[in-house]
Amino acid sequence: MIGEARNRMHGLDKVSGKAKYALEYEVDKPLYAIMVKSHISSGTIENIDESSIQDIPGIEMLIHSGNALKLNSTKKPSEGNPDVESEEISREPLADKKVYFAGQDIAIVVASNIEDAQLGASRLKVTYKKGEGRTDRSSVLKDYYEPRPEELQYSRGDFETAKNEADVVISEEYEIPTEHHNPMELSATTAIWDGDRLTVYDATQGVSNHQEGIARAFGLEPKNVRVIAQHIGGGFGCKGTLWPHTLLTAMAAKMTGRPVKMFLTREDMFTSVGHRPKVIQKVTLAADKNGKLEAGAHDTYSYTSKVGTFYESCGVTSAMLYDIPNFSMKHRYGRLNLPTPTYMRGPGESSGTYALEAAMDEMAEKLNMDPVEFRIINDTDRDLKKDLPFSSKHLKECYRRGAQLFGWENRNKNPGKMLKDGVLVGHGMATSTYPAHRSGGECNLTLRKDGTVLLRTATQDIGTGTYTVLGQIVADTLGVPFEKVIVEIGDSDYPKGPLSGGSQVTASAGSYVQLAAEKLRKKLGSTAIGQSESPYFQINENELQFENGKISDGSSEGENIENIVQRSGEENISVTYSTDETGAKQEEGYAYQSFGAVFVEANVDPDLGIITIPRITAVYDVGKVINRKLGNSQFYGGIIFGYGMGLLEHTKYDHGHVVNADLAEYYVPVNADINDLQVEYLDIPDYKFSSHGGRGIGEIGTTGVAAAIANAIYNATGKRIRKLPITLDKLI
Amino acid sequence: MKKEEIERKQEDLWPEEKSLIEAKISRRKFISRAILAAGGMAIAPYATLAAEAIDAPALPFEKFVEIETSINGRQMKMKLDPRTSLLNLLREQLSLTGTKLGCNQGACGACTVFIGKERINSCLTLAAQIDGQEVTTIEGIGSEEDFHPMQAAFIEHDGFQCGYCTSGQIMSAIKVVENNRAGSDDEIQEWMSGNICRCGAYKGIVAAIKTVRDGNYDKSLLKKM
Amino acid sequence: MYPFQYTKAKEASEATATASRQENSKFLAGGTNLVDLIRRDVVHPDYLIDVSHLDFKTIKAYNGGLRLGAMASNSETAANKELKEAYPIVSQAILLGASAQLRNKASNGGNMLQKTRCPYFMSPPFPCNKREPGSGCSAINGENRLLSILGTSEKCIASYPSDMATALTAMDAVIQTRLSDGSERSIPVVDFHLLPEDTPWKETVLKEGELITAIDLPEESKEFAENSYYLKIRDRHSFAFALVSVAAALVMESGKITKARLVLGSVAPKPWRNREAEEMLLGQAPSENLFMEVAEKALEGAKGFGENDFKIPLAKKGIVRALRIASKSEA
Repeated sequence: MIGEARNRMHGLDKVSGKAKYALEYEVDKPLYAIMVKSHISSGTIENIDESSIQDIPGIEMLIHSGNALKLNSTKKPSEGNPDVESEEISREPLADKKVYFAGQDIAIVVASNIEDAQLGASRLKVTYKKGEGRTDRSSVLKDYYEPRPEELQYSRGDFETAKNEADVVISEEYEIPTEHHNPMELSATTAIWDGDRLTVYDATQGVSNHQEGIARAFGLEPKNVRVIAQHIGGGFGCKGTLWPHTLLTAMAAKMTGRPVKMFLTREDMFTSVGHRPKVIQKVTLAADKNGKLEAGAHDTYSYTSKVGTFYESCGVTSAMLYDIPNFSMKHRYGRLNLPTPTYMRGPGESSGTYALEAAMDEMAEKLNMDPVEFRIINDTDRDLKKDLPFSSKHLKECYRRGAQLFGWENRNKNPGKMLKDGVLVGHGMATSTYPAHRSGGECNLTLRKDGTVLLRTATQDIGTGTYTVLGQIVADTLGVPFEKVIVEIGDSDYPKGPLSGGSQVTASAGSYVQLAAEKLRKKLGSTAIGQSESPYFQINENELQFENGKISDGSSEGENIENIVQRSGEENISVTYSTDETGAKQEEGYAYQSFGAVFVEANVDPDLGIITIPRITAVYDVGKVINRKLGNSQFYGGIIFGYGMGLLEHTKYDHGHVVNADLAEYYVPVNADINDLQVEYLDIPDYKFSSHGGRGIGEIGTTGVAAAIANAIYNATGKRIRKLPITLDKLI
Repeated sequence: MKKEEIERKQEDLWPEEKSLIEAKISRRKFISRAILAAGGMAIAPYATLAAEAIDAPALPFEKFVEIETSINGRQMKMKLDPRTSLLNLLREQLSLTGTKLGCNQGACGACTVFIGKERINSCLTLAAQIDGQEVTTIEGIGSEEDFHPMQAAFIEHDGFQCGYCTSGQIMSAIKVVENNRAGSDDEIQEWMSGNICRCGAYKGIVAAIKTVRDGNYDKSLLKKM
Repeated sequence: MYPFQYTKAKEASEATATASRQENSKFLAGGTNLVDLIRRDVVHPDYLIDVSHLDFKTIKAYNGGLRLGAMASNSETAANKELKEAYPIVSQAILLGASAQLRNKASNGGNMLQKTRCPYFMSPPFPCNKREPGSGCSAINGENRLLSILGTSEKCIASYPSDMATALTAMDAVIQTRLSDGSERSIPVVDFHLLPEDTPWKETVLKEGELITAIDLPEESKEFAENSYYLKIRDRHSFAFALVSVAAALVMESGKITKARLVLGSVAPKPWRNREAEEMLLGQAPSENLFMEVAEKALEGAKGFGENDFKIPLAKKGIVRALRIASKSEA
């Protein structure tokens, strides 16, 4: 069962429009809330003229800092490092009249219908006193601070000396622009109060985390807050944080005494739920003439906001990916008057591997080496930063298998020289990598009288396939047909589960669910051998087998496991299993990391610069893949996300305002962009990391892709474009 | 609708209705409670949609627009705030939430429905403009017993992850096959490019369309429970 | 969303009469652009007069040419057999625009009235002379990658994005309208849009209440069918606005070009036709050099504003490519 290609659980709901997302629950007479956003980047609100919207009939309430409920901080007392965050302004939504970025929530209009709420939000007259703001994202090159933790500032050996003694050195600057997640479902919340109890339907990547945060904000017991997210229309990181709109929806519902629905507009998605920040990366590599890397440096310049701290940490991957004995890494940031950046599919890794892997290509060329061979020479079995061996690493096999599948030997190593049917053809590759993360959680697993098995845990499925893979793990471990397993997640009333972030859910929830299933199997066995009417009364527990929904001793066909429940006189037999915060069954003393190799063909029109990517081949080493079909979708999706990063995505700012805040001007890949994708994975289980051997696959697909595309374009054209996205104007 | 339902008590009125009545704004005929929700105030159970309507006040800004239409084969008559988009009408008033709000700008295709035989973006369609037209949404494809083959094919080829763009993709995919735009991968890709999938399920989507085109989809997935 | 009243006009005369009488009214056809702009708080009509159902939906032979009803959808138009045979460049251009869904809804008349995609026009917090006369132009020193290099003024550098209008200009198409007094007039597409000069908010020659009823393709332009090509250069492989587009249409006789039309799209506030450049082609055999000289001429006076500087070389290369394909030459 584990490893099989299964159709997606809830597939029927999704193809028939029945799957419910945050705004789609029937609530009684809801009001609609729309956010009013600041038009300035910095300063103070002088006045909000309520009379400017008073004649709009549907408007029920205008909420601003003058009348908003005071919220408590949503942060845990333990969160945050005072050293690095001393400059951060701690502020709850609508707490005061201060403005820290353009697009900041400054009021919400609550109306009986969407049209009037939107009218009110656009018509509300707000006057400001403009302050001195800083919005220039390139200014961080000169004016920055260095956060303290070693995670971000690190060195080993003697980079300078090793560099000076090396035969070949390259040092280049790479830039990625600000990007936005833009999941298809807009962030949205429906909030309903019943006395002191709050129910929130939210488009969130973490029902458990949101429950805690909301409870803290409103001074409630967590058990009085229920967060429901049965289906989430994609997240990619932007639905992982508890952003103001969720709290403001709950606030509006409390203040009006009515259920309130709020959705962000597509424009709001560019200001109010984070982004991948623009990063300028300086990468230096130094090698001996045989291609052995001796020294490397990766310096990251980016920014965070005045009111939140997020560090896009691009150098972290470079510190561990290759055998570079002398290494230096710096991370420098400015606090700007821009919205707070956040995690976006492979945060740090996707942006960092772009720079590192483009630099590796430049180095290979300077060494006159094949890029694959160059990487193999510098491969390492140890994470030099953590100074630990990898739990399971087979990157060399990824390179070799990928090169073979792709036909890498046909690459012309002289750039700009392969013309075929009027287009320049180029081949490029890069390494993909993403750490394996894991956290703890808890679940209930219940065998019911009718033979169905019910799993409940408060994690969620953002499209990644969590429902399905958890169902497979239960079915496999308990020995029941997949169809008998009912997976209920996406509800904070269930036992606490992990956030859908860091590619961790399958490893985290998958492990404790598997252990729960083992526990339930044991319990069923011990119950059966204690039941005098059971065919297995008093036999040795170890002889029992569980398969196809039956219990047997191996010699007979066995009986349905629900008979055990029926004989027990109970409605069901149930277990609870929980792990601590580090997750279950992880062997100590290893670094856990996934790897891959991605190969790209680029075709470039020699005159017009039009870039086509006819094919991408990737081979991954990600541990065991639980579901082949859904796993492939994750990899394809990750690669396509990387395609967007490499060739299309670019949020444009003017004085701190986004000026392409829509899907007609912010380009994400469309169907016509994507041609052949070929994905394989080695499928070597990593039992040191998780009980089922899987390591998580949500983000690795995106890493390396932008670099492989850039390298292929270089191979096609002879032009090194070190600034993403690579648009045709950069090639003509 | 029955007369007693028409003569609602004052306390049944929503606050905004009350205030308008108190303001002695002339009451306009034929507005059902569900339909008064024109901008999207309430959710009316799909099955109870009234073909007739009751007396209720007008908004001071604008007249209501009276339309007659057919949605998934059901005839209905309603009065609407003219600003109401077809998308909001479907989602907020008729509880037909299978049609998705993705950008509200015609740039993503998540809201794709059929008007007559053509697929269109319901977010940029004023509900007033469906007067006299037949609208079909994801809830209206297939039959009572069976899913539409495209629905089955999307499951088989995993033509989605989060599922949010899926309704729109399927509506478009049906038309791509019907209109003979599925001759090659390139052609399918071009004619499906009005539907963005941020999860990146394009490969599965193209595969699903091809199996429907060729009639070799998994028929065991067709039967509704 | 800005509140408007809605009327469904029973006939054209009623529509034009209402529009001329009622201040701040707008015709509504497909709505694919107008509804978006109202929702974005960019335009604020008090009255919408729905003309989408009016009897201007047919595509029919007319005066030896073809008449495209103003209310026919872009999709139906692009798929029309006569159009595809006699004026293939128009069909190509339409199909390279927007998405299938939008083309199903968008009308031919509305396509002529598409608004610019200038980011500042679409962002109410920013000054924009087109949206708010006299407020200033944010684009000249701002994000102007998509904007004009030709026909600009100090007041506005917006570009006009319609692919269809670019191809129609190359076909010498003529817009037919109906005025509120019942009279009708004919306006060549090439003269339909105004340059911004000092009044960027005035975009077309249409008068109050004047309704587009049809677009006529003249019989003479049929002879370009064999040698025409619409090149659209864009950032994405589909569903993207043009960075530069080129409508190239030629008549070839014995290896020589005897007639030529060359129109650029998305580089100016209107489809940009340079007759001098066209004349350079006449009597000549196709060659790379000739096309390059023509391209230089066509871009005469072009001026970039930073982000969009690349459009000048790109347009030149696009012209060479489009002419090469249209002339079916190996040049």
